[in-house]
Formats: sequence, C-alpha cells, structure tokens
Amino acid sequence: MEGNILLMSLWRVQREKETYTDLSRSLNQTLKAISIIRLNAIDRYGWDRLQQQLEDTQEIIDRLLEISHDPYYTDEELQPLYSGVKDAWLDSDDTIRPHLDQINTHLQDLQESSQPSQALSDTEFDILKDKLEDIRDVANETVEENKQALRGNFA
Amino acid sequence: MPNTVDQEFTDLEHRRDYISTRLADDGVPTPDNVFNPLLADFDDLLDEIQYDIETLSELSDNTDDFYEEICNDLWDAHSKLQKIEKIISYYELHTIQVTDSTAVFDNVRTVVDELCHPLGIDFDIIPIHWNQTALVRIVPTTVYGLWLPRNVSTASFTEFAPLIGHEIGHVTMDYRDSYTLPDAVNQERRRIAGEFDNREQTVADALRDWYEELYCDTVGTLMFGPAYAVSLTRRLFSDNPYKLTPSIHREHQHPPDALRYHHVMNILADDYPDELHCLAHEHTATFRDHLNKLSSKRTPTYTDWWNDQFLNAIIDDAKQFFTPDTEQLSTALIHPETDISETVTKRTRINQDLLNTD
Repeated sequence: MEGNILLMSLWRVQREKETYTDLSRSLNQTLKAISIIRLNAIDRYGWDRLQQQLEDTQEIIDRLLEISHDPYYTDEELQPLYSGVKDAWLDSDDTIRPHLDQINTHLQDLQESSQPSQALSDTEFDILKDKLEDIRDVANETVEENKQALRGNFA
Repeated sequence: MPNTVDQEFTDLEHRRDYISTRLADDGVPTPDNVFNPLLADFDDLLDEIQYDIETLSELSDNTDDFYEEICNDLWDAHSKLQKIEKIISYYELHTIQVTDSTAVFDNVRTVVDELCHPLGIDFDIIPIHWNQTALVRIVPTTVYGLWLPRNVSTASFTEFAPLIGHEIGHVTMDYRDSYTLPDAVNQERRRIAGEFDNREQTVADALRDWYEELYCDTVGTLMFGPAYAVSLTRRLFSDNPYKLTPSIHREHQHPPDALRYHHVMNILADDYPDELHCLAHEHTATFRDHLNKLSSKRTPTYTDWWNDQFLNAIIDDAKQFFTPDTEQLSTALIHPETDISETVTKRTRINQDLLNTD
C-alpha cells in the first residue's frame, strides 16, 4: 500500500497504452501488406504504401535487435515488447537475434524484389507472418484495457 | 467479411456520432484544441479501416483471409474512441464538481501556474476529484487532468499541494526529448545491477521503474522544499517501507518508502539552507519513528540495491531539465519580512502553514 500515490504512475500506464496501440497497428498493417504481396495484388493497394509499411516494421525490428545486444540499452518504449517477445518465443538475448535478423532479411527481400510475390517461398512467407503475428500479439497484450473490453469483459 | 466486422464497424460509427452530439451540447465546455485533433485522427483511422474492409474483401474473394487483421484494426479504433470517451467524462466530472470545489480547483491552478514558471513549461490542468492523487495525460504537453483525493478541501489543501509538484514531474517527462533513461542514471543502474549475478535483470528492471518516481520526488522537493517532505511522509504508509518489490508484477515496482524519504532529505540537505533541512527533519519525526519501528524489515540486501550515486544522478538529471528557484523560496521562508518574490508566493505560504513558521 502506498497511501495516495499510485503504485505505478498513471502517466506511464497511459503512455504505454497509446504507444502499444500504435505499434500494434503498424505491425498489423505490415501483416496485411505481406498477404497482399503474396496475393500478387500490389497494384490494387499501392506499392509505395506497402513499402512504407515494411520499412516501418524493419525499424521496429532493428530497435528490438539493439536491445538484444545490450540489456541496458535505454529504449524504454520497446523494452516491454522485447521482453514479451523473448518470453513468447522462449528465447534468450542470443537466440532471439537470428529470428529477428531473419524477419528483417525477408522484409528487405520483399522490398528489393522486382516480383515481390515470388521473393519468398511459401514456407518463408508463412514463417514471416507467424513471427510478425507473435510480435503484434505481444503488443496487443500490453494494451490490456483494450483487449479486455473487446472480449466482452465489463470490469 | 463476416457479419461481426459490419457490426463492430457500425458500433464504432454510432459511438462516434454520439460523441458529436455530446460535444455539440454546450452544458459542458469541451475545448476544440483537445477534441478536434483526437477526432480527426479517429476519423482518418475509420476511413482507412473502411477502405481496407472493402478492398481486402474483394482481394480475398470474400473469404476470411484478412479477418484477423481487420479485427485488430477494429480493436485499435475502439481503443482510440475509448480514450476520447474517457476524456469527455473527465470534462463532465470536472464541470459537475466545480460547483462545490471552485476554491480548491482554483488553488490547484494557482499552484500549477507557479510551478510552470521555473520549469519552463505551460499547459492546462483539469482538476477532478477521484480516489487518489495522479496525473491524467489528456493531450501530452498541452492538457492534463489531475486526480485529487475526494477529501481534499480548502482546509486540507495545504497538505495536499506539494504532491502536485510530484505529478508535474511526470508532465516534464513529456517535454523531454526522448523517453529514455539518461546516460548517467543508466550507468549507475548498470553498475548496481551488475553486482547481482543471479538477479541482475530483476534489479535492472526495478531501478528503471524507480527512476521515474524518484525523478518526480526530486522535482517535488526542489519545487516545494521542506513542505514536500512533510506532505509526502504523511501519505507514505506501508507495512514494509524497506520492501524491494522484486515482484513479477511490474506495476508493483515502486521505490521503497524509506528510500524515497532518504532521497528527499538528501536533496533538502544539499539544496536548501541547514535551517530548512532541520525544520523538515523535525516535522517528519513521526515518519522516522514509523521507519524505526519496522526496522527489522530492513534486510542486508536493502542497502546493496541502491546508493547515493544512483540518486545523485537522478538529481543531476532533473537539474539538466530546469534551474530550480530554491534560493528565492529559501529566502522567502527564512526572511519573511522581506519582499517575497511573486513567483514563490503560494509555495511560501504552503511551507509556512505546514511548518508552522508563520
């Protein structure tokens, strides 16, 4: 018990919620982009827009990689996401890196290919989507209030 | 797309329409600078979702291929709308409560205005009686809500006021360039945690969380002087003031009460004249007695978890952000017969009342 001062500041709770709502959206947009590329329907959606989404996600993955190299790296915003993903994948700082590297390599391959829908094999597309879904879901878990409300809990 | 998508989307539209109706009602002031950007952001999101639903349904030949992604979009929209609905509720509550609490709310605004000057920040505050003291982020750097405990009245305001200094500390974090730990603080954190081989991560995580609260205590103490120590110690109450809380629940990661007291008294010793430090010491005797009675809870590990270098790095960090006007406040308190600078009037009065030096 801590008298009248909150155990965890409301400022931090709100900031985290807003940050992770945006992160979840960004990752979700990339998941859609990958499916659109796979369906070879780039023209219907606009390649520039899809590329931007892939780039945004690469930046997120780069930040996670930086944390994996230095546990004291001071990226406060991404730290909870990094810890959540590491737990979800049962990884350590060392074993998480190849997974993150692989995601970024695939995202780069998609951007550089003249035929993005052919840039990855079916298996590679599946792995990429699965991994990004995991990261997005961890971001969603952080937005606890949102998750509970939409699941029909009325607490 | 399955019908659930249409249902959820329609529900969001209805809620958005209701907000428009609500904002058109002139019974409660709802400033455009708060709501227009939030609603514009939400409307853009809803347009994007509608476009995606139509385009992706066509691309997938009306299968469920994109269902999960669309659900996620709808969640995000719901979350943004929920935030707007909550802010409207804060304005409604404030309007209802202001009738009975005009003087208290005015006092809050006067104190906040006085604090903004040395901190070099400027924002609107919406006081709301709630169940505890906390800062509500409405529009970062521009508008904040301040929760006050239900029992704060004009009579008890003096004791509550210094805690506003702590909450404004959170506001200053939104004004800082990035949301990262300063290098000096991080170096200390690394050094301390490095001494705990088997619990390094736990200690490192806790120290990161402690930083924010200790930083806000620093701002509160530099702004309010002895009154902050008095006010804080009257509110800190725990059956284990030495608890390190190495819990798996992140929300319980808070600095031990004894450490907060130690930190606040250190600042008073270093940044205020001895006379004022002694007054604070004298007026917090009850809290020291509380700490002494529970001293059996103080484990050998407690002292190993922190040291003054970590705390000093936090003080230096706060002083990087602003130049405290401790000198003006000290002069006003020690020499009340002289002209008191109008930039410290309210804080001087609060100190005089709490320290009985009037």
